[in-house]
Amino acid sequence: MSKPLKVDIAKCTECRACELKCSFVHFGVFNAHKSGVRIVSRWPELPGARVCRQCAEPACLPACPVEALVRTSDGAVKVLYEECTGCGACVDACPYDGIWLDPLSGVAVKCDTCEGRYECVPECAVGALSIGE
Amino acid sequence: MLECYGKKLLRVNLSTRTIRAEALDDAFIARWVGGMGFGTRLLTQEVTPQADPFGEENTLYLCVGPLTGTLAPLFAQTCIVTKSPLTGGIINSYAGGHLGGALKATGYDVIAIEGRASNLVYLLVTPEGVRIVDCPELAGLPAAEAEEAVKTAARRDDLHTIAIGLAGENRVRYACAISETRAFGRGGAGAVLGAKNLKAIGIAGIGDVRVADRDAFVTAMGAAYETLRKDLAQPWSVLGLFGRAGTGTAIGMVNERYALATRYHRQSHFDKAEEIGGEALAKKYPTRPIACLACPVHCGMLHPTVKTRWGPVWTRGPEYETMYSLGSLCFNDDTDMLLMANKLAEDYGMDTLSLGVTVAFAMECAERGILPRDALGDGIPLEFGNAEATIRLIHMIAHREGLGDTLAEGVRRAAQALDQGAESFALQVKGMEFAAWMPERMRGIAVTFSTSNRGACHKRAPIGAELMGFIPMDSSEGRAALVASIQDKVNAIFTLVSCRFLEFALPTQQYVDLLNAASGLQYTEESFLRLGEAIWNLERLYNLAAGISGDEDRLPDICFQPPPDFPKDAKPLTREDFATLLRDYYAARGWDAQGRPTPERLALLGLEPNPIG
Amino acid sequence: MQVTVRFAGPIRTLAGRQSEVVTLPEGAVVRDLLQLLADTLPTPFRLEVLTPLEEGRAPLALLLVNGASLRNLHELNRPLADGDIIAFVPPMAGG
Repeated sequence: MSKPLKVDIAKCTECRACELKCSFVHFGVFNAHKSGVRIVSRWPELPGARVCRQCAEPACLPACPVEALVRTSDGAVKVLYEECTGCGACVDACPYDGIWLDPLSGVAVKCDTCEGRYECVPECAVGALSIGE
Repeated sequence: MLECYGKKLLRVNLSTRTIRAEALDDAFIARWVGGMGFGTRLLTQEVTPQADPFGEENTLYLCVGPLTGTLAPLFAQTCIVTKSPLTGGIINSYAGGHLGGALKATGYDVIAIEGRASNLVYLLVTPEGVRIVDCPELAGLPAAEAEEAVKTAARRDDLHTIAIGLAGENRVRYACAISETRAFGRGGAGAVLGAKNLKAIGIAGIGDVRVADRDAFVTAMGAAYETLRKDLAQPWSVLGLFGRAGTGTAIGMVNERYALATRYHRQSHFDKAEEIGGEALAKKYPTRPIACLACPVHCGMLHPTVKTRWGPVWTRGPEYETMYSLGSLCFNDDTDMLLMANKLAEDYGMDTLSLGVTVAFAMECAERGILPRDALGDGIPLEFGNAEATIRLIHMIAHREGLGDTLAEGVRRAAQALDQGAESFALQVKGMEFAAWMPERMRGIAVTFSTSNRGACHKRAPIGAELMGFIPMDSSEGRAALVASIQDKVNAIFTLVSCRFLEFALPTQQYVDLLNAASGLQYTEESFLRLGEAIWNLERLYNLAAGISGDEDRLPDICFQPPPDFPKDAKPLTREDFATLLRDYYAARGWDAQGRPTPERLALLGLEPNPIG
Repeated sequence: MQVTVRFAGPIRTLAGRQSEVVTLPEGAVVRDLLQLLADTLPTPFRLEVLTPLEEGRAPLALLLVNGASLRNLHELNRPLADGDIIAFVPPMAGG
C-alpha cells in the first residue's frame, strides 16, 4: 500500500504551486482541475486540502467498469486516462472526496504518488507537503 | 506558436448588455505580448483621449499575459488598464492573488468592459457562459461580502472574484477594486467600475494553459527558481524579509536613512516607525503568510480575527506604503488603528496610499488654519496623530459626507476647492497622490514621481540602489537616464505579467527566456526593453492628447522645502537640480524640450507618428 | 564624545536592544565603535553582523552614519563626531 500525501495545513500559504506541478507532471499542461491535490481556500480561516488517502482497500478500484484504474509499482491507484470514460463511478464510490473528474477532458483525476516520486513535495516553498504514514 | 495564449478577447458592453468573443490576431499578440501591452494598445485605440473616465465611453481592460497561470514564479498579477478619474490620463493597476490564473483558464487573454449598466450588476464568466446579473441586493456591501455573494450564487469552488465597495459605488476618485486578499490599488479603477454600475466580476475557467516549448520552459523555470532560491538564501534578502513579515519590514531601512516622510513631510524620520512596521505587527497580532498563485515569497500577511478598540477585524495586513500613508505621514503610531483603517480601506475599496495622503492633507490643512479643527464633528479634533480622526475621515470619504465629499475628489481637486495656497503642499503629481517616498531626499524618486505616466508612481524607480548607497541618493548624475531605463524595464515585465518584486532578483535575460519558451516568440533583451519603451511612449502620447502636458512633469513646492531633520551630510533637492533632471530625462527619452516624443524616436520604436485612436 | 547607535528590523533582535548612547574618546573612528559593540553586545550580533561586515562578507549598507552608508571598507577608519547617529539596518537590494 502506498503512503498518502500529507498536507500540513497550518503551513500552507495557498499558493497552489502543488496543483500546477501535478497537472504539468501528469498532463504536460497547467490546470488546477487536472491536479490530484486541491487546496480549498476559506480565508481568513485556514484552507482545506483534498487528496487521495491511498486506502489499503480502495473503493474506487473495483467501482470502475472499464478497468481504467490500476495499481502502480508502489501500490498506489492510478488512472489510465485513455481508458477512462468519465462515468464517475469512482467519484461516487470514494468516501473521502479523493478523486474527481476533470471538467474539460472528463477523465478521473487523483493523486497517484507519481510512482513514488511525489513530485509536488519539493515544489512546496514552505514544506507543507510530505509523505505521510 | 503562441500556445500560451487563449488568443481571445471578451467584450462586454454593459449599456446594450451584449457579449462578444473576439479573436486576437497573432501580429497583435507578438507585438504587444500581453498584460500592460495589450491593455495600453487597446485603450489608446478604442477610448478617445477626451473621454470622461466616468462615462460610457471609457473602457476597463482586465489583461493577463503569456506567463500567467504557469508555474513560473511571481507571474500571478493581473493588469487593469483604463482612463483614470484621478489623472484624466491612462493608468495601469495591478493585483496578485488568484484572479489571473482563473482568467487565463477561461481562454480569454483580455476582458474589455464597455458602457454602463442601467442598474447595479455583476458579471459572471464561467464555463456555463457569460452572464450579466442584476444585483440590487449587493448595493453598498463591503467588497468581500459582494465577492462571497457572487461565489455562492455561481455555486463553483473554482470561482475567483474582483469587487468594489461603497467607495467605488460613490465614485470616490481613488476607489480601488478588491480581488480577494489583494487589490488593484492605484488610479481609481474601483471608481470606474462604480460609474459603470459593475459591482463585481466572478471568473472561473477549466482550460489548459500550455507552453510552446515544454523543455525550454522547464529549463527557464528552473533557472528562475534557482535565481530566487539564491536570493532568498541570503540573510538580508529583502524578498526573504517580505516573506517573513510582509513589505512593512522595509520601514526600518527607509526610516534610518531619513527618507520616511513623517507628519506631512515636516520630518524625514519617525521615532515610532518600527512600532508600526511589519515585524511589530507580526509580533502583536496573529499572522499567517498568504501567497499569490505559485509564489514562493508569500509576502501577504493575513491577520485573522484581531481584537481592536473598534471591534474584531480580519484583514490582509497593511503594506509598507500604508504604514507611510496612514502611519508616519499622519503621525499615527496606533497599530490597532492601522489595522482597522486597512480593513476599512478593504471593505470600502479605497487605495490606501491616496486615502492616507488625503487624510494627512486634511490634517495639514487644519494645522495651517485652512480647515477648521472641528470639521469632523462629535468633538473629534482634526489633527495629526489622532486615531479617531483618521477612522472618522475614512468613513466620511467613503460616504462622501461633509468634508469627505471634498476629500473624495483627491488632493489636487480638494486643494483647488479649498484654495488658500493649498496647492503648494498638495502631495500629488498629475492628480495622483504621492507614494511612500520623498523626492526631496531621493533623486530617482524626484524623476519618476514627476514623469510617470500615471502620476506620482514609485513602481518605476531605482529605490533599492539609492537606499543601498550603490548610487548616491542626492546626486543627479545619470539619474534621469537610469530612471527612464527602469520605467521601460518595468513596463516590459508588466506585459508578462510579472510581480514588481521579481525584478529585485531576476535579470532581464531570464524574463526573455521564459517569454520565448512559453510563446515561441524570439524576443531579445534589447527588443523586450524596447517594447517597454514603446508602451511608455504610447501612454505619453495618449496623455498629451488628453491635455496632460509637459508642464505637469513637476513637483509641489513642498518638495523644495526640506524638513529640519534632513541629514546634514545630504543635499536636498533644489529647483535647479530638478530642472537639470527633467532636461536630462527628456534628452534620455529622445523627446523635445516640451516633453513630446519626437517622430524620430517613435519611428525607432516602431510606432507611427500618430498612433492614438 | 557621545554617539547614538540604533538598531532596526531583525538586527534589533540580534543586538538585544533598540538603541543606545555610547561614549567614545575624542578621535575615535567607526572601527573603534564596532570594537566596543563587539565587546558589549550579545555574541550573535558580533557573529552575524559585525564580523561579516568587517570581513566584507555582508553588504556595507548594513551600517549607516547620519543616514548614509559607507562607500567602502576604508571608511571604517572615518572619524566620528559628537552627536553622530550610527544605525544598523537590514540592507535593501534591487527595486
